[in-house]
Amino acid sequence: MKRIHKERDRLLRRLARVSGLVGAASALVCLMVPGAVRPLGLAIGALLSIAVGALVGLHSARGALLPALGVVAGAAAFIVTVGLSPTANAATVTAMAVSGGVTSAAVAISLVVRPRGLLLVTGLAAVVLVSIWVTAALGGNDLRAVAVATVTGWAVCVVLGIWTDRAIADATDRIAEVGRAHEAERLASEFEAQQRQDARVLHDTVLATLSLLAHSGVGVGPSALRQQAGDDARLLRQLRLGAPLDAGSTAIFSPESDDDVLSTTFESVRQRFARMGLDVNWHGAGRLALPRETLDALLGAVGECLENVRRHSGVNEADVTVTDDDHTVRAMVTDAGTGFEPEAVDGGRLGYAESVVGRLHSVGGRARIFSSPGSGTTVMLEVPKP
Amino acid sequence: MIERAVDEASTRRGRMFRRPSRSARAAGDVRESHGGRRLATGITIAAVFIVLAHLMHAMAMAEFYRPGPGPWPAWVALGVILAVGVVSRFVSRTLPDWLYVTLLVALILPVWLDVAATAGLLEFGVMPTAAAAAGAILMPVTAIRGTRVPPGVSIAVAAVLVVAAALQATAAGPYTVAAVAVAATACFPVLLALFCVTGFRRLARRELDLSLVQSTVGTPRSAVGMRASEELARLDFDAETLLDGVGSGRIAIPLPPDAAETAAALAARLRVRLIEGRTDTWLRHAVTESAYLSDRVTVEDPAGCAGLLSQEQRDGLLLALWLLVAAERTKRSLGPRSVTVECRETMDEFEGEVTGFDMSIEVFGLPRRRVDPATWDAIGSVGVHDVVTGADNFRIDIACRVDPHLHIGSPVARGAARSRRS
Repeated sequence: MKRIHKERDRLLRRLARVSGLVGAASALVCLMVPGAVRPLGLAIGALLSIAVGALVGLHSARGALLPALGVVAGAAAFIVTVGLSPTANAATVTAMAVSGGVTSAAVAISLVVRPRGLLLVTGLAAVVLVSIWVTAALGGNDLRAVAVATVTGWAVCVVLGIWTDRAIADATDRIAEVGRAHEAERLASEFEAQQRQDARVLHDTVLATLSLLAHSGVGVGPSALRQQAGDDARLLRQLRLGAPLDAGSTAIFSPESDDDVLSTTFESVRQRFARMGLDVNWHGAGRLALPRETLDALLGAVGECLENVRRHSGVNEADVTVTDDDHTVRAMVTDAGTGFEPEAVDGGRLGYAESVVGRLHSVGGRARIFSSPGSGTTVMLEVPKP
Repeated sequence: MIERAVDEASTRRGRMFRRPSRSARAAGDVRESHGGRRLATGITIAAVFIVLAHLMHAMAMAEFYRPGPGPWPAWVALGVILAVGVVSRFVSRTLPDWLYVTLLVALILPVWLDVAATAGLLEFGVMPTAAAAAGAILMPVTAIRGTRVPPGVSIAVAAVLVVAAALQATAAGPYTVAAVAVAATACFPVLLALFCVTGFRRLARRELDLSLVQSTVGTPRSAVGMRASEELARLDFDAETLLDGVGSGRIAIPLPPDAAETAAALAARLRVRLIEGRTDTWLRHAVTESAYLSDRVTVEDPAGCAGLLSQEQRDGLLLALWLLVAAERTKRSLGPRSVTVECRETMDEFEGEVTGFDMSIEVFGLPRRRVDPATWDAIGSVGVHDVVTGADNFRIDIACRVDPHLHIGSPVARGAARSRRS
């Protein structure tokens, strides 16, 4: 059975329980009015009401058919017993009307959505009406009001059950539609995010420029900074608009581990630092057979190291040497600047820890710093070969 | 713009639950659009039956009324109110507030006319009918307009009728019982309709939530998540705005302090957003984006193992979690329901590829026997499982087999996503 049908049945059974129990209790209260029935009638009526209430509970717990039939039978028995009592008056008629139109009708809410439920419910309603007719014929009372109440109650419950079912079916369809549309949205969103995250080199320069701006552009001429900011804004706009990218800027967005692109990427890093007043000399391998993730991480880390050189070393020249053996690719970033005591600097400082160590860790690499005050700094970056 | 981005991000952590804005838009209005109108139709039909029954009751008592117009002015007044309501509903889909209030207040008229016409006649079995019917016509109003005011009004009408019956109780005797029953018909159907409508809306909201969250199962192994993706896009845009401002000379160099601060904040947050999310999986996003799962389910999956599951396994796992959270409450003494999902990497490797991992789902506040049987089927589709029952909880251990070469997030869908952007 479909899950939504279970949920629907649960809701309908709860409705049936509320009206069934309210009906059984109200009918009993009507009988308890002084002078409504004799003590024996009251006792039987009370027993029947309690039994019907219990059956309503049983039916609404699991939706079993048998207790529902029991509810209808009990309500019919209640009607006959009360209707044939010699003290028939307005109170007993009300008790019968409640029993016919509320208590017994309650089961219609949950039964009508079963297969061939309408037929079953019509049959059950007919049973109650027949019991009313028999009572009227035998007792000689006018029970038209009871019959009207019963028909109304059953009709209301049937309509409530059927339309709740239809509304839920409608809702399910609509929700499935919304779900499908949303899935497409999610894939698009995921794709977009992936594209943005993949534009590592672009983001590296954006982050570098933002950091510069945050420090009010220390050590960089205003015009160079303006140009750099303008370039970055233009690339971000391209990324946002998803505009077709020419070969050069593709490298800026997402470098592939392709030889030509690799040199373009190196070149773009070099140019960026040159503009900010740091000359980067590139030595060693110009082509690297590395998976893209690894290459991204390595280049990102190199960029961060160069940014540190530019900011802290006090010199305007740095060397990047790339070497590799069978297992590892090493990139060494060297400067002849002021240097520092590696122990004295908190290794957990966000910049270095996240941007260099974090990046390399994510691809199984590591970083080491060699430096002492006055004798420059060398950062050794290592990533494993596949 | 930029300040807003940073502000929102700082307050967001404190907030309990918030859907990504795209999901929130998709969720839409449950009351009107997701089958709610159909339910309102059904409730209207039910109300018509009740009103007709009251009308028949009025006609049956016709010979006992006092000479004069009897209860018919009340019925006419009720008819006019009903007609105005129906017509204005058809003319403008939304009933204006002032008209709504006016119509509700106008219900005083039929109730008053009816009670006045039947006062003192209860000993002959004559009781209000139009007033009770006035309660019943509030059933569709409950479904369409509001779930608080109409039931309240119906209870007020019923109270008036009960008082009217009680005042005549000494003379009327057993007829008082019948009159009270009629009074109850003014409010009981409305309350039943209220119950039905709220139950339906709760059901629709939950299904919708599940349906929105189910879209996570189609994402790649590690997913950024919609909220993070929205934020990344916004950070990029804010950075673009700032850089463009500097590039075009609109912002002076050196930067004014507030702009410099913004640049620092953007850089810090962008850095975090770019690095994070590498081990976030669909499961984490499904849980955080669901109104129902987010405060009951905890995911501990540092290695992002859940991302290895195939689409069927993910569907099964999500449904199982859903059913565990949704299972009916039994006893309060069991304490709050909570579910913890823990994924552990195992040494289950073949030629360096992960081929499986262990998952355990620990459930508190739900006795094992109350678990929906469908849950076990759903878990069965994730992997071979084993249940360990404790004193106040139980644990489901699942050995998940995964295909390391499987890639979820079909290229077709990605292609579609790409073409939609242009």
